[in-house]
Amino acid sequence: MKKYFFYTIIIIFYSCEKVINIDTNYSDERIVLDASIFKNINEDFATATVMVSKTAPYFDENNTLTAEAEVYVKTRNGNINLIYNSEKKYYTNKISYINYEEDYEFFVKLENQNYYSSEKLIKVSGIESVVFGDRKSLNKDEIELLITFTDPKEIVDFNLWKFGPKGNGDNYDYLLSRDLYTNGNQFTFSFFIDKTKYFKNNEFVYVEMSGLTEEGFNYLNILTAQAGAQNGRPFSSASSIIKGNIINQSNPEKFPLGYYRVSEFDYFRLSKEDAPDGVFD
Amino acid sequence: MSKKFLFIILYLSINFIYSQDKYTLSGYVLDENSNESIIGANIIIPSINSGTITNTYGFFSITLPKKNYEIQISSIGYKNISTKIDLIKNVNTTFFLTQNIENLEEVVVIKDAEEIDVTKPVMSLNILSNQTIKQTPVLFGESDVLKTIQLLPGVSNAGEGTGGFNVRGGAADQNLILFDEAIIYSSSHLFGLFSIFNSDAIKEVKLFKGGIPSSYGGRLSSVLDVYQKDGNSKKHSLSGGIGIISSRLLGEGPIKKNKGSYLIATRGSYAHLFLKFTDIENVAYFYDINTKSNYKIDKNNTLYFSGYFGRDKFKLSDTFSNTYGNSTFNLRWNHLINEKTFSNTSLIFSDYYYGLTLNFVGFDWNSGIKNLNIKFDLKNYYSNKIQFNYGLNSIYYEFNPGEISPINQSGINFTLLEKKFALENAAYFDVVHKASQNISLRYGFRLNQFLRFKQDGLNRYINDNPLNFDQDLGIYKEAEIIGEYLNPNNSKTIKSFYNFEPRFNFSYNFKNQAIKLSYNRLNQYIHLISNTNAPAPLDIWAPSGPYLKPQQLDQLAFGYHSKLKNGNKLETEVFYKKIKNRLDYIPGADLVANAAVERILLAGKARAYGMEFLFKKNKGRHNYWIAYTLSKSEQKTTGRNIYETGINMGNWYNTAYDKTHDFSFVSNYKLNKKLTFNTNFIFQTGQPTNYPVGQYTYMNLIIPNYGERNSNRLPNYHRLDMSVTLVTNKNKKKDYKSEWVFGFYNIYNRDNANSITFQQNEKTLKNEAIQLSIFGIVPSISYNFKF
Repeated sequence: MKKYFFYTIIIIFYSCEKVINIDTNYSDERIVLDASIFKNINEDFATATVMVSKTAPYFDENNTLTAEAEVYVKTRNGNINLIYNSEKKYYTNKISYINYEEDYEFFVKLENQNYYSSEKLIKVSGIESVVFGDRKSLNKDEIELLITFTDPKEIVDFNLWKFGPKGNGDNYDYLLSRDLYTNGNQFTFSFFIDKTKYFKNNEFVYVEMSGLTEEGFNYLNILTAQAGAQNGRPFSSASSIIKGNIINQSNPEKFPLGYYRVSEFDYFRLSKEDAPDGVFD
Repeated sequence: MSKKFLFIILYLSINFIYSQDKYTLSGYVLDENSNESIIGANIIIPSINSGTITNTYGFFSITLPKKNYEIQISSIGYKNISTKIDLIKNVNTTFFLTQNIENLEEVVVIKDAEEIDVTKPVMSLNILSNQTIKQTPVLFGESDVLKTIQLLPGVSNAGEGTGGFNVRGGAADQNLILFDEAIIYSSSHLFGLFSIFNSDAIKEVKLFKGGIPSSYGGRLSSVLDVYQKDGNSKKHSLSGGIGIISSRLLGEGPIKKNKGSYLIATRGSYAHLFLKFTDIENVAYFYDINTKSNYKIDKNNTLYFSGYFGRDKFKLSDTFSNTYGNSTFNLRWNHLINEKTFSNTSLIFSDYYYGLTLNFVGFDWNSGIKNLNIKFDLKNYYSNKIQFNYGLNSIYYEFNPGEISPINQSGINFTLLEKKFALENAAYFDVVHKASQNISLRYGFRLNQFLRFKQDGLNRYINDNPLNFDQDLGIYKEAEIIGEYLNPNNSKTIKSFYNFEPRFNFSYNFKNQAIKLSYNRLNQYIHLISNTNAPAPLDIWAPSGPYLKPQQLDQLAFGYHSKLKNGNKLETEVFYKKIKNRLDYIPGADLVANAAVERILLAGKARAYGMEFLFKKNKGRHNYWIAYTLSKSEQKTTGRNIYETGINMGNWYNTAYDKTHDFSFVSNYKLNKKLTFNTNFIFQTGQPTNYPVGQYTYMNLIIPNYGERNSNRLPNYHRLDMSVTLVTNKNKKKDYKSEWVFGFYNIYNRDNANSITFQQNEKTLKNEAIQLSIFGIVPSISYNFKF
C-alpha cells in the first residue's frame, strides 16, 4: 500500500526519475545456488533444477554460470546426480517418485567447499480459476486478473505466485501470500498485470502457484522486494544480506546465497482471447 | 504535638514577616485590539534590574519590596509602554499593548527567549511567533509550522514527501507535539506536504530541543508546544486565504464583549486534485477545523475550550480508500489561587484514527490510538528570585492495533487484534531560581509511572522470548505463540515502570552574554512502529510492556549565547545524547496487522552529538537568520548473546535521518509598506542510503547484494525558495486588508534525490541506479484577506 501512496504522490507532484551514474564497490563474493525440485500437482515425478553461479560487481554484465560443480540429491532410494545441460546452463535430472513425508537432501561440491540443505515437499492447494477482471488501477496499462483458490484450513500455508512471461526474456512477476486471514476459505484476489509487457510473444498469461515453507516465504519476501519484482507489497524491508537455507559445511561464514525449494506447483494458462471486449485493441 | 504546633507558628510568622515588606504586582498583558493574551511579554523594573515575563496564558506576577517603581512592558511586535506603580499593597492590573505595524524598524523574526537579563536559564529553545511562521512561505505558498522549524538549527526531516521531523539526531517519534496541551500523533497532512496546524490560528510555537523543563515528559528528543490564539473578544473578524491547492477561513469574535471570545478556523484542499494526471477516478484531499473559545468568569477564573479535527482522504476508484487523522478536545480552567499562585486544570481527549479499505483484497482495516488526559499545573511566583512550578499529569491510553473485517464475503476472516491499555502518571517539581546577579538556574525532577494493563490476546512465548535467532540460517525469526500471557499475581497491571528524571539548567550571564549548561533525563513509554524511515499514516504506536522496555535518554548540552552591539544575536550550542532501548526491526519484518510487534523488534542503543550555530538579525528593513548544524546520529543493535548477529553485525550504523551538515538561510526584506521579499536557502548532506556491493541472479531476478547498513549517502540536497508579498487594499476602508503572495519553491529546479533504487532495466537488461526526485520547481499564488 505504501507503494500506491508513493506512486500517487509521484505522479501528482512534478516528480521525476532519472538514471544516474554511481560507482559501487565490490566486496563479499559468494557462490549463488538457485536450487529447486518441482512436482506438478497432477504428476508423481519431480524435476530438479540447479543453477550455480557467483556474485559479480553491480554494474558489470550479469554473472556467469558454472559447469564445474558436482550436484546431487539424496533420497531414500539413493543419490540422484544432476547432469549439466550446456545449452540451458543448469544442472538437472528427474526424480521419479516423490512424497510429502521424506526429507530430500541437497549437496553441491564446488572449489573444495561442501554445500548442503534439506527440505520436504510442500503441498499446494491448486488453482481453481483465473479470469480477467474489470477493475482499474492507477496505471492505465494494467488489467486485472482474478485468481481463485481454496485455502486448506488444517495447515499454515505460504504460497509463491508467478505471473508472466514479461517482455522478451524469461521474466516474471511474483507475489507471496500467506493464509493469515483466509484460512479455510475459498478466496479470490486481484493481481494487476501490465498488458503492454505481457502478451508480447505469447497469446496467454501463465499463472503458477507453488508451496513454500515459512522460511521460504520470509526469504522470498525480502528477496523479491529488493529486486523490485513484487507488486503491491506495502512495506520496504530493511536492506541486508539475505541468507537462505543452504549452508557451507566447510566454512559456515562463507554461506552461499540463494535458496533450495522442494515444492508442488499448479499452473493455469489464461488466453488473451478470454479478455473482455475492448481490452486489447 | 506541641513541637509541630511550634513549627507551624514559626513558619507562619516567618511568612508573615517576609510578606510584610513585600507586595505583589500581578495581572495580564493583552493585545489592545483583540484582548489576545501575550505570551512571553517582558515586565521589567529597570531600577532593580529585575523583572519577569508572562506565562502561556498571559499572566505575570512579581513580588518586590514596598516602593515606587517604573515598570516597562514590552514584547516583540508591539510598542513598548512604561508606567509608574506605587507598590504599597498588592496590585492587580492589566497592561494593554498595541501592535507595531507602522514602524518598519521592528519586524518580528524569531522571538528571543532571553530578551532581558532575568531568571532565564533557558537554552536549546526556539520560539516562533505567528508572524514568523506566516512570513516563511514554503511549498504551495502555505505557511507551515513544521517546515519553518526545520529551518532552525538542530531540526531536520527524513526527506520530501515524508511527515515528521527529527531534532538533534532523534527519531521522529521522540517529539512531543502539543496543541493547546493536547497530544498530537501525526503532524502532517498528505505525507508532509501540509502541516496539520492552520497557521492563521496559531499564536506562538515553542520548540525545546534540550534542557526540557520537568513540566514536560514522555518523549525523548523535543517538545513542540503549539498555542492557539484565544480569539478577539472586542470585535468580530474574518480572515482567510485562497490558494491554487487549498484555502482557509478563520472567524473570531466576542461571545460577550471583553469577557469571552470564540475562534473557528477551517482549511481544506480541493477534491479531485489529481484528476488531470490520470484517467482513473481518484480523490485526495484533506481538511481540518480548529476551534477555541474562552470565557472569563471573574478576575480569578477563566475557562477555555479548544478543539481540533483533521482528516486526510485518499480514494482510488473502487480499489482502495484511506482515511486518517487526529482529533482533540480540551477543556481548561485557569484559577488564580492568590496573586502569587496561578493554577491550571486541563481535561483533554485525543484521538488518532486510521482506516483503510482494500477492495481488491476484500477487507476494511480500522486502527488508532485514543487518550484521555488530566493535568494539573501550579505556578507559584514566590519572589522575584524564585518561582516554583509543580503539577500532576495522568494519561490513559487505548491502543487499537486494528480490526480486520471482510467486505462482502471476500474470503477474509474477521480478525480483531486486541486493544492494549495503559496509564502514564507523572508528578513534577521545578524551580526557576535567580541565584545571583549573574547566575540563573532551573532545576527539578519528574517522577513517572507507566502501567500496562491486562488485555485479551497478549501472547506467551517459550522462556518469555518473542524473538528467536536461527543460528543455521543466521536470521531472526518470530517465536511461536504458545498461549495467553499469564499475569503473575492476577492483578490488573501486567507490567509497571517507575522512573525518576532529574532536570537541570544553568546560565552564567555577564555583559549581554551567557554561558549555559543543561542536563536532562527523559523516558518514553510508547513507541512508533514503522518499517519505513519516516512516519507514514500506516504507523502503529505500541506501548511498553512485558516485551518492550521504555526508551531512556540522557542529554547534556553546553552553549554560549550573546547579544551583539547592533542588537544581533548569536547562539552556539554543543549537545550529546545517549539513548537506551532504541528499537529496530529484524530484516523482512511484516507489519500489516501485526499485533505482536515484540516478535519483530530488537532493542539496541543510539547516540547523537553535534554543534549548532544560529545568528539572527531582528532589526531593520532586512531581517534574517543563518542556522548551521554539524552532527552525527547513529544506532547500534547487537545480538542478545554471542551467537546472534544483531543488526549490521552489531556495529554502529547511521540512523536514517543522520545529516552531517545542515545549513539554512532565511531572509525577510521589507522594501516598503506594500512589498516584502522572502528567501530561503537550504543546504544539507544527503541522507544515508544503501548501495549494493555486488549482484547475483536468483529465479531470473537480479538481486543487489548489500553490505553495511546506511553506509552510503544520497547526493547533497539544496534548494532556494523565493516569494514576494504584495499588500493591496481593495477598498479604501481601513478595515479590509489583503495581500497577494507569489512564490517559487526550488526556484532553480534542482532534482534533489529522494531515493536511489537499484534495478535491472527491462529493455537493456543492464543494472541501473535510478534516482527519484519529488519536487522540481513549484510555483504558487495565494490571496489572503482579513476584515
